[in-house]
Amino acid sequence: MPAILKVRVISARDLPIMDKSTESTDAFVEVKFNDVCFKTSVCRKTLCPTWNTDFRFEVDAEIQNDILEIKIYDHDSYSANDAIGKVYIDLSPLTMTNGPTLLQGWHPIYDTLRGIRGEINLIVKLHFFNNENKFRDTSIGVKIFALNEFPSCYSLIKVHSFVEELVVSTDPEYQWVDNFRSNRASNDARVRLLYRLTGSLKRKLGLKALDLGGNAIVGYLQDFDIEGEYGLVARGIGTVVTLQEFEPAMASQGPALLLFQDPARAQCKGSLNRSGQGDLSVHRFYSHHLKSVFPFYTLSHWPSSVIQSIGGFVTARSVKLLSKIEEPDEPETRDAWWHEIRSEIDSHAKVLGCSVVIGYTETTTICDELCILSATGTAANLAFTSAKDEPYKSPTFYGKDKIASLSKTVSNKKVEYKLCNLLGVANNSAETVCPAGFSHVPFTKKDSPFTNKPQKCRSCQKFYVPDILICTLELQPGSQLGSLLIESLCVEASVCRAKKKLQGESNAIVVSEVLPFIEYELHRQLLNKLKLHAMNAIFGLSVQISISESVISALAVGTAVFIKSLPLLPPIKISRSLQVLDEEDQKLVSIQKKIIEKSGEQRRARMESVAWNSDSDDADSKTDSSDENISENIALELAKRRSLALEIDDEEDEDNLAILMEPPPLFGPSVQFSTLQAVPPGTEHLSFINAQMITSLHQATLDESFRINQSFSGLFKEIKQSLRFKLRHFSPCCVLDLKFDVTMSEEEKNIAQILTSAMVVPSKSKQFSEKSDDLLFGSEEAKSQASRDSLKEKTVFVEMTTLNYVVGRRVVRYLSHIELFLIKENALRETDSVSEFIHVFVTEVYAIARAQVRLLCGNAILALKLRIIDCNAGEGYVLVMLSGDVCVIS
Amino acid sequence: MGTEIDVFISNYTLVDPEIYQLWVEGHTASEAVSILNQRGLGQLTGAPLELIASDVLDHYRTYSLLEKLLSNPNKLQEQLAFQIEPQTRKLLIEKYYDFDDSVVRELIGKKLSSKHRKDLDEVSEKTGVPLKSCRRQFDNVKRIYKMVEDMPGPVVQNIQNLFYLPEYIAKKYACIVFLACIRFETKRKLNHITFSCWKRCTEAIMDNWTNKLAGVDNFDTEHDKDFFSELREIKILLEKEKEHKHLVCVLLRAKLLQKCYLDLDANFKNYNRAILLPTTNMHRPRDVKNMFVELTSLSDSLKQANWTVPELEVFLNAYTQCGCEIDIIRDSAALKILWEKYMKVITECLLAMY
Repeated sequence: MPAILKVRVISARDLPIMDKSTESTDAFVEVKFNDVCFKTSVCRKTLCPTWNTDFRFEVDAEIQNDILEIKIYDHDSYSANDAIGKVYIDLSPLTMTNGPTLLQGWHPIYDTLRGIRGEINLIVKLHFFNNENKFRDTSIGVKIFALNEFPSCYSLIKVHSFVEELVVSTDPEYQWVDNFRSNRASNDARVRLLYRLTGSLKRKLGLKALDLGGNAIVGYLQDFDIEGEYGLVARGIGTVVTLQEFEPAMASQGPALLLFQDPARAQCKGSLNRSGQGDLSVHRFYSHHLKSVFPFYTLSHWPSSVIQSIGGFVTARSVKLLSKIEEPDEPETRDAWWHEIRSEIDSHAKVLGCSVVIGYTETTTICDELCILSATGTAANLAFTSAKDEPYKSPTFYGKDKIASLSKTVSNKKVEYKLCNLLGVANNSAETVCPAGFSHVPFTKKDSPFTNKPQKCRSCQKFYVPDILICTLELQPGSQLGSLLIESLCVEASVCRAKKKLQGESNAIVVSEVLPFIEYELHRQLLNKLKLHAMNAIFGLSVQISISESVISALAVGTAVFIKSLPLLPPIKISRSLQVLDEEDQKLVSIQKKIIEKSGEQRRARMESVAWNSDSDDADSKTDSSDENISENIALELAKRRSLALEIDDEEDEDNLAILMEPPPLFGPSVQFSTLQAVPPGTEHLSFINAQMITSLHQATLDESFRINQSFSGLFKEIKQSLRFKLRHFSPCCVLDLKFDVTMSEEEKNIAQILTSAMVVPSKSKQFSEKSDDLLFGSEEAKSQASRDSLKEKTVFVEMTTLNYVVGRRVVRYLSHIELFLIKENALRETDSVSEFIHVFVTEVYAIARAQVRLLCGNAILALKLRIIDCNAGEGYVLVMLSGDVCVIS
Repeated sequence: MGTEIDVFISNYTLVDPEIYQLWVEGHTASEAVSILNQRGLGQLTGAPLELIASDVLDHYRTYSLLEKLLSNPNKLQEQLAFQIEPQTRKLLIEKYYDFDDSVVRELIGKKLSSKHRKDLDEVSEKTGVPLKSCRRQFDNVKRIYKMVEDMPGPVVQNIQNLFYLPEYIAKKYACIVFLACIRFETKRKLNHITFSCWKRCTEAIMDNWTNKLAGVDNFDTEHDKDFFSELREIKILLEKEKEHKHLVCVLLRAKLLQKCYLDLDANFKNYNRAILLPTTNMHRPRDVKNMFVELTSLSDSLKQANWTVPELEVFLNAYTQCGCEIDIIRDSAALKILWEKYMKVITECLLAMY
């Protein structure tokens, strides 16, 4: 797609002093796109130079692949020019129909060694001619959203299918030239490569989307695998949809839009309407799956009316040994690996009687040549798919793979997630609607292949429900299900195991053998926590495995809720066969007592609340009988499965027991954690004014002893405790969308690095706001006054959020999906604090992200994701990716 | 170098007024932790010391990054690295530019050079304010002085506009700037005069004796030269001492205590001369500098005679009033204005110093 790119370099300000003798700088700018390079004149002896120079590039297909580089130098007559810093401008927002037509504004100049050094004022324009050639290789116009729900502002015409793409390259950090080029040059090469890979990844995905007849990709997830000397893999997955903008006037704005919409309109069979409160109601969905495409959806927000039933959490993992990618253009091995995993997930879903997997994600963890690929999702049946179309396939396992590297996939859902099975969707929909509809399992008692029999739904008494429900999905606020929920609680399960340091295949074997046990342990912990708090479902679950040379860790975080239609779990039972020997044992015994007490307490409370609620539904008799049912079942289950009791037979069991108990909460602050985006049930009076995103990075050395598990899980308790304390001025508040990103590494000792991100939403409570400091977190009036003040000022704040929405505000227009890659390399001296290095860097990353939003004339980033791609904090090297959807909010 | 990392960052910069205050006061992070703990933060929240330390360090890192921006509050508005809500920004700037009167009193009359900056440890020792805080105050004073020194327009407003400071702080700085511009003698005999006293005196002078009254474009950091040269005409009052004394005594006989009245009666000549002395030499810049030295000797002798402040005020008012009634002044409107202008400042200064 030929295009003309115009760049105007206006001026710069606050440049660093590059020449000490004159205390000034002789700056000039180099503008580079696709190996074509222009320079401005040198602006002598000033820290605020003005150039006002225009450049023009004639570009073709590379528009999507390449990135505009603007480099600022200090001119030196005698020696080489000194680099001041760079600015990377991604042009993809300009290619969007109805997107911004130009980028204009101040942008921080960033240097990988020195950080932000001044700002430059630019205007970038792009004029391109539409190429509607069938064989085109650009996918301009395909919108990409990181949101994992259907974007508002658009009407959904059609949901197509899952798309994936994978691009491979060698990593400049491991190329031979890196031995003799400067750190700055090698960092620049790496960043440029990441931008280019992202560009081509998006372009290819866009082409696939166009092939499928869609015009947008939602739930876009992009990740990089740093495989060291084996290369660098960029992966992207998403869900192709056809969207239509609300305003009919838009049609006149560009022919490209019409082109993409035409085929969709022809097949348009339904639409998704957004009614007043932002509640989605779906009339009818149709979807078609291409032969080779998996029925996966990366979205985790679904209108509850679309979900007919949930099969449960499905996961597949595969341990691989990396090898040199021979042909970067044809990354067949990597593609094949992911294909295996996806097929397995698919077959898991089929076993559970589900036709699709929603809330699907893929992750990897790499340690040297060992790589664990993981895919997780929630098996479900959706209203717009027909299970009959899909012939039942017997599950296939890839235990013995013939590929050069070793492969072992771990299927866990059958053993652990005792949930639902088989068909029955069709007749389900014909019956009267039960508000707990989607928690029903589509099978009857005798059909169930599991030892754990499903029970009658407590809401409708007709269909069967599982005893617990675990899924990766979001809870829709205001959905029917909402009325069935009581309380929510963030639960986490963590396992950390030492492993032998091994090489090659033997290492892979050890890891693949230990994985099922780790998964089992996670599940057991989650189950125990559910019991402890008398909950019966987990939403928004995410599981992350991380591996270093001598440690393998796993973390599962989710939000436990109690769904009234599901039965109450039996109370926790602990049997101890170990003798009480020392003080520590006694401590554990007392913990054990506390756990049992607490479990009983919670359970009684739950019983009461359920009974009370049933009373109000005038169904007394029903409650009684179901309560009896429960106690019957408890007896039955306990007899059947002693494994559900917590047995303390050895030290390791003790270790696990200790993990169950949360530390005593801080007195003052009341902070409620949730992994979900929606405000947890039971929370009222939220004040949205002070809502904001928080990011924190912890790195700690793990205890070497056999209590490594405790030490690891202690980290998360510490982080939560620390957040509780640091958010004391917001208290009481909810912490939404809590995410942990764990990286294990090893430098003499085992080190765990945890990146935490979350949204804080203070809930207003008169009692507290009066107490808190008036200057900062004063009364409601002061706050609204402040927000009004901020409106008056010319500086408009950039709202950054990990959520799909900005709390208390409305999205007016989506502008573009953006990615940022930034490296900071700073040889740290003994006295330097690593925390300070990270603190400064994260501040700079956010500053640049805000500048990008301003360039696009937006005022918010949604679904923001900050990911550390490569990090060696000890040596002062960090590479991060920041991505999100830039939009305008009102 | 430790591998432990503990960083917490939020989209809108969080400023804890208490921790910020400790930082501004120049306490180290560990000092701040123990102070906070002593104040009962740990007890109140149940947080262990490490948690408080982690929080304090987060805040301290943020503040030290903000410090660069605080030196030019204008940048605080433009930058993207920290999103600071207006009221938080106000708090940041206000507290950063606030100062200890005792420290600033030490800085008055000294050259704001980098050499002097090195000697701040003496100031720190004398005032008991941490060195770091002294440096900050020194730098702030120097920065503001350099910025507004040669700037046209009213000083207070200039400071307010450039540094986004509230009026009450801007006024304090205006006073320092004025003292530095005029270079009054402030040391030696005058060491005992506190900053708040200086502030009162300089404000009186700035309001009455500077070019401020002449128009907006003029400096209020410069004396009104015309006024000083005209002032010589008031010297005549020295010759009218007897008449003046008579008028004052008649007026005050009933108002003053016997003791003061007698002192006044006995020493009127001396007091009169002391009050009028500046009129004779103010046209010479050297003598302007010594004005306060002269005034202080007057106030010292008054003190020895055990005058109280209200009594002094009564006397000075009567003195001014009676001056107007003396024929020379009564007959000339220009002289009357001159006299009132003169006495307004002298009265204010004497009362402040007393």
